[in-house]
Amino acid sequence: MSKHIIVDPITRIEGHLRIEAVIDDNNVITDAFASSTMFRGIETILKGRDPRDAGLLAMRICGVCTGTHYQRSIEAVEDAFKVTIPKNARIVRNLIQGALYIHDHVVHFYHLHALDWVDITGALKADPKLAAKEALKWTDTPYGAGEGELRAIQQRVGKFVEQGRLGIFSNAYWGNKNYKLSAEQNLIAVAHYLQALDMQRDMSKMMAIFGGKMPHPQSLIVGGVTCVQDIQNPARIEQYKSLLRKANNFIKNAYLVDVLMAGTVYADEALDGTGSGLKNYMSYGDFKLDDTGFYNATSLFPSGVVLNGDLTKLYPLDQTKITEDVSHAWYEGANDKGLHPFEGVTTPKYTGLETKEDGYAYLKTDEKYSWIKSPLYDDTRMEVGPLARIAVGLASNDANITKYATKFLVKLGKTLGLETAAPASVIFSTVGRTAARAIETELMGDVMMGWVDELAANVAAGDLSTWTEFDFDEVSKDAKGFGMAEAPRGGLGHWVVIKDGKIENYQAVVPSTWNAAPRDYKNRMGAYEAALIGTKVASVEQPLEILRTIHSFDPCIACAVHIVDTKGKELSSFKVNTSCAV
Amino acid sequence: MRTAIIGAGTVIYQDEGIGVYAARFLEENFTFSDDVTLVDGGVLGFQLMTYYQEYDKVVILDTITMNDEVGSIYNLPSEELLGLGSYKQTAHEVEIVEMLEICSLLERMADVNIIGIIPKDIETVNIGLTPEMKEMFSKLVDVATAELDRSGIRYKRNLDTVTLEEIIEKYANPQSEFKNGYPTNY
Repeated sequence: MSKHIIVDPITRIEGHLRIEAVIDDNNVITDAFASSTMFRGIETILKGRDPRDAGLLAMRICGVCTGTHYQRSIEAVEDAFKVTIPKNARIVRNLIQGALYIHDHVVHFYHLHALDWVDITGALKADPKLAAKEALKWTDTPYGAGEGELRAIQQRVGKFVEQGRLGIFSNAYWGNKNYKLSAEQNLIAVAHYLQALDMQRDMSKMMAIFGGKMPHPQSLIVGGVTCVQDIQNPARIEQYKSLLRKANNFIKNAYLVDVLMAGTVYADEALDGTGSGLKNYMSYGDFKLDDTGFYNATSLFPSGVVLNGDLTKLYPLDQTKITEDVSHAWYEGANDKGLHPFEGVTTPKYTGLETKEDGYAYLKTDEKYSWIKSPLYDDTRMEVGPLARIAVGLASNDANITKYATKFLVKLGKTLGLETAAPASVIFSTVGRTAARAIETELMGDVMMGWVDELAANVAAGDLSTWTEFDFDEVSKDAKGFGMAEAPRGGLGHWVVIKDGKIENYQAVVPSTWNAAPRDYKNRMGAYEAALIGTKVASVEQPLEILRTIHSFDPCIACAVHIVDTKGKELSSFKVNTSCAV
Repeated sequence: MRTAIIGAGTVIYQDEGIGVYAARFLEENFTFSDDVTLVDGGVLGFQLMTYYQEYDKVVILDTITMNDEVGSIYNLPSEELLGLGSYKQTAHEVEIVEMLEICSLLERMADVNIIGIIPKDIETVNIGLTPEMKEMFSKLVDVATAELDRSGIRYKRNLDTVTLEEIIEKYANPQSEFKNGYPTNY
């Protein structure tokens, strides 16, 4: 008899995501449904606004990814106004987004995902001396993994466990037999988990150097950037570089090495394609490398589409082929492939869950069951994110991406004892999705160093331009535009329609809309759903494998409410106002 | 004493913005010494760590869930929020409380207080507050200043008053106040 597993909520970051999986007698997942249980509908707030305000409001869509929405929204308006930003502005934006990438990816791996692979309690059994030796097996220059450091960290974590103070790690699936790292490997990863906490602080400072006030940057405007003083200040440039050097050291000697280590230990799951899912990949392209105009410029991540995991064929991206189907989402609309975002509408139609005999509420999966729409590209389901960017980069023979991906695959081939590099197809898996993120982090850290120098040289040569002038009344009479680029977790698009100086329609399709979407009108699965099918769960009570696969997408259904939840704890003695007057 | 006063919340969800407005109200209506930073919060996530670790005192203004009446205000010391534990199947939503847990593993952490109010409506997409929140707003600000007093943080009330309505307006029409430093013909 099949069983139902419900995981709700699943994100280690804000937001509300629910997964229902059906497993057969052999504990293999045969069906899966992803649902966002929280209504967003943020687009409505932008209608009727001055398009120059859009960025400042759009950044409030999500409390975490503020800068990304800010930039995308501004670029949508620039596209509508046909404004090309100056070189300095382009590089500054790349540096802000690049810092966001490395910050997001490091935090994702260590603090949101590593505990799906690393058994913290296992680390307590490690011999620090052997662990230091183990670290040297994976790289000649391990980061912060000397015997003394590892011993100190083990003692610290041990103390917390004794005091019962592992709150953040409580309720994890410790001891699950699908944890495969050795005690020593676990200890290395735990050490990096803690060291990454300090590291991410520095990375977050990098964003602020050109972004200004965090978490709500204000240095971008339609037509360019406003941080003229900062780019002329050699101290700011040097500060950025020194933080980046530290970050790159961590990325190369901790992050990438840990991913290689985990990738080797969990290689079986990569080789058999566990968690591969749709195998249709889409990248909007991002990080403009020249000043030939927004969608003409060459970009670090090429745009395009790869179908069925076939890396020999690249299909060019055509944004007119994007539609949003609402047949299984709680919105009004026809039962078809839906509307293009320029025409998109967001009218809620909540039909609820269904309480079954066992007393639990289940998704009504035959009908509508999520607040996320199902976006389609050319009537096909797509996965977006780091794996998609690497796949599209490989299919387009991009020199950078091919170089960094190959380097990783060669190393993996060696650690697996193969005679050749590991096959590129290993990336079509849950493990591969996680590796793709690390590969592009290394690439990003390296190219950013070049961008800072490029910026400094351009300013030194006397180009201080940061803003392109435009005649607002003229360009905003009747315009349409889109800001399509790659947020760390995948393709993010903002579409704007402007009439007589005001926003007439606005739609944002976020990366998790692509990945976390429910079924479509043809009952085809979304990326999360498809990625779960066929996975064997070691223990039904501890669906570790489900978390692993879903977390490998870096889920963020954010864009939502984040209220401090006191989980029903008795705290009445801290009440300040007596019975309230309202 | 390095102090951060953080207004947490997402202003586009009605009462969710009350913490952001409260921090802004303090910033606009009081003068603080240089070692006090006011933060327009959003949700922050991992960026909170910088404040938890590099500051001595952190006051977070926010909404909270609690089995109590709408408008009730609590001043919660961070120790009370540690170890709540019931993380629904390891889905740690890394936010204010979870960052406290994570930072408690590190050697240094600020003295953190969360001043929270029980909201009425955090679902409607609208920049503004319900009447219930408006009524409690000055009380929330008083609780915040009382916490600053208790911690020995000094400040001065300004002569001119910026009202709550004016502050909400700044978020509803952000461009008005971002003109400074922008090209004149923008």
